Amino acid sequence: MKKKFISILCAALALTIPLTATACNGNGNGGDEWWSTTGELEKNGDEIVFNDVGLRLASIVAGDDKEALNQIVAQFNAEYSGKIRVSVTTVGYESFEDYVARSVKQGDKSAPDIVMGHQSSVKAFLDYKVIQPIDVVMEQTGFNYDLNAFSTGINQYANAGTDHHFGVTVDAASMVVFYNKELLGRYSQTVPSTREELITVCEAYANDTGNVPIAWGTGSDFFTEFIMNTAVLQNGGTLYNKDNMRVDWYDNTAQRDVYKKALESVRSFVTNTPKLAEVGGDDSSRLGDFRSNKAMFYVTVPWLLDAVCQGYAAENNCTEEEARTEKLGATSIAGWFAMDSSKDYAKKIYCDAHMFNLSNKVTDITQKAACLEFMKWFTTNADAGTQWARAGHVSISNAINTQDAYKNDAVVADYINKWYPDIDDLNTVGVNPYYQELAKNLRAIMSEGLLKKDNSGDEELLRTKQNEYNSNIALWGGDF
Amino acid sequence: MGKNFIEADGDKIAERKRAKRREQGVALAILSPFVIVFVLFCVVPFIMGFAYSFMRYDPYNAEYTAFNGFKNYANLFNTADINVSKEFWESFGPMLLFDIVAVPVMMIIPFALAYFINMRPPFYKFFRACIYLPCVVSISIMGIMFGEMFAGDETGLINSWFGTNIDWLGGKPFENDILRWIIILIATIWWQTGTNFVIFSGALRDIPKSLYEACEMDGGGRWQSIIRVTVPNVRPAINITLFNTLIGFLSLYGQPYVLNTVENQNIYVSPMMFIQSYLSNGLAYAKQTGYLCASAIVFGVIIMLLSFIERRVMEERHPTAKHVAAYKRYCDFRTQRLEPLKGESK
Repeated sequence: MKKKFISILCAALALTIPLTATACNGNGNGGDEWWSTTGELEKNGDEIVFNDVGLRLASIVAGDDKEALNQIVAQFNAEYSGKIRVSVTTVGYESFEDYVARSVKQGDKSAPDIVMGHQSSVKAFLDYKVIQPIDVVMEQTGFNYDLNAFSTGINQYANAGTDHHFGVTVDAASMVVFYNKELLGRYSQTVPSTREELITVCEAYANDTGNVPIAWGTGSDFFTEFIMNTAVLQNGGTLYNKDNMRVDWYDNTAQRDVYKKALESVRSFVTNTPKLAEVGGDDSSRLGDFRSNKAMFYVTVPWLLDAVCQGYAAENNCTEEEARTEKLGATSIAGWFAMDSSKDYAKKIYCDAHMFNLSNKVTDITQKAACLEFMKWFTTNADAGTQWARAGHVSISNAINTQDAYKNDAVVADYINKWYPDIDDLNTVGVNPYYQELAKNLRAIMSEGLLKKDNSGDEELLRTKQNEYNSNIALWGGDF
Repeated sequence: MGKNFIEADGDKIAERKRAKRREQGVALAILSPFVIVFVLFCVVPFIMGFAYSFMRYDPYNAEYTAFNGFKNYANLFNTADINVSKEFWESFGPMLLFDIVAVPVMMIIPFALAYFINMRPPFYKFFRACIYLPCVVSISIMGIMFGEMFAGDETGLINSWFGTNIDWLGGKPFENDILRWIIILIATIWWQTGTNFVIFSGALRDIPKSLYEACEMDGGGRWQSIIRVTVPNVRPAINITLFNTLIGFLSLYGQPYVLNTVENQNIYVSPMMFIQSYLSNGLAYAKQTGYLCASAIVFGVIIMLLSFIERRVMEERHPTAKHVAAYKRYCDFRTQRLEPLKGESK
């Protein structure tokens, strides 16, 4: 028995060594420049000649907006017929980073040429040398593309903390607000733009009708993350230290005060007398209160625009178009959680952003230029921007935002631009590779903080979550 | 000249050996798809995981990879400095407590249902189908159903019926999440009872009726017939269901994953949740793949240990002198009781 066990163990180890060696077969290029360029560019005057260049786009967009992306890509393929052809592969959120990194590092033929992920992934992709700089390709090809004509709040992370430009941020999405025009019209001539105005109109409505004026689902991931982070930004806080990725939510007294204010700014809607919002539920469960004209405001995610209008129309005997244009209106959460509305940061909105990255798989100069051509087209074409906005993603490109075709679109004019009044006020989590850990702890602060009736436990909550986050990233960063 | 007896016997033996080898070959061919899949997706990953648990290993960066002995295991037991290790060990608590309650429940309820269905009451086929039907539902569907029923606001079905606002699925382990675990238990009973029920039903049908009659003749009542006849005769079925249920519940993952609220969705209430969460959540965790492999190995060893204990407890015991003496007393008792009856019949 003992001999058998030893022989099985030896066989296992013998098998392990080659397997381990195979698994470790990564890209060993450890130099400063891990990317390379091959081939020569063919030009016709100033124009680059593309001759049926095939590109693979790996996209993290896997929800209802996937169809919109496919249509936009189909439009691109039609316009560039015979020149560039893009095929889309959709990969789910949980396996996206792994898929991109593994396929690019292993040199798979099916590895993406263009990566469309969340901006938060860019630092991890960069650390693993999975992507390459775009500005270098522009220099090599003489490609004309203004990489700075984007929302300043979001575009600041496109260099991922380096001297190079590693991505083109396409869009943003945050929590947005629908309102009932008739109900609001009874209590205010204007749409509230500050926290004070909002509370005044909500209190008037609640006192008058006994209804809860704001419908929001505090039980959803999006709410806890987006609203918590927005409340922190609107009160002048930072989410983490960009130099070392650590957080000082409790240890830094200024930050501690900001985070306590942020929590209180959201909690006060629930603890206020009369009650202005409820705790619990998710987007869909709270929609009923808004559809039935009980709630004046409905806070949700932008890609539910069609669902909200359809639902409202079904319950109120009107058409979807009537609901969209006459019954419902849109406003943003800018200023909703700012305890001091006079500050510069009071209008900031926390967003999630999609970003195009150039995969390190691409070496051929013509192919690199083709990737840039696609990115440029997507972020400058008004039709593409409009379609994408209708799917719930505001364009953060000035090249699109300034075009009449985009601005005059009914949905963009009535909803998108109301939800995001100033794209420079939009902010993202930046390039923190421990984004998941950060989001997990911020969500916990918000969800646990909202369950408390007062702020007595806030400091302990901040201290616990701060220490947990810092301890965890020390392990994940390889300190142990 | 014909073959002698020895040669003829030798030919027969050789022929039998060839036939046996053919049979073995066919058996191997039939088994091979499973064996290949098992080796590729169970044995090989296990061996690789075992090797990585002794390494500083990053699947995306070969330069980072190095042998580091027992460091990952040491880190796993360092709960003072490493919060993640604390999370790992804390994740055992809720799972084990749930298992202590759920495993017996998931044995007794299917057994009781199978016992009553075996009595063939009216519409027993309909009830049998009803009991088994939830097994075909996926865990996601089960999660949606029970999640909607027990949503923690007034929109949840149960809260809406009773006009309450109970946070059924919220709370933290060992603080205020008892309702959540009760819901998980109810959902599990509804969802999984059918599997053990089918095994028990089959085993109960195979018990000869004569044994029940003999028990009745010996003066045994309903309860004694269950204890003395039914249970001993379904013992193999009890063994296999207990083993499967225990292993399944030690790997608890799906139920707490789908039945939660936003404030506890990132609290790991079983080691499987811990491992799965960190292994599939992006590149940030890649540098500690070796550590996560070590946690999986330790978890596997604990499961093996508990399974081993279960097997030892449930294994058939050979009759000891004590059992033999008890049996002898029983035979004497029977003889004494039957002797007067024999006399009467004569």
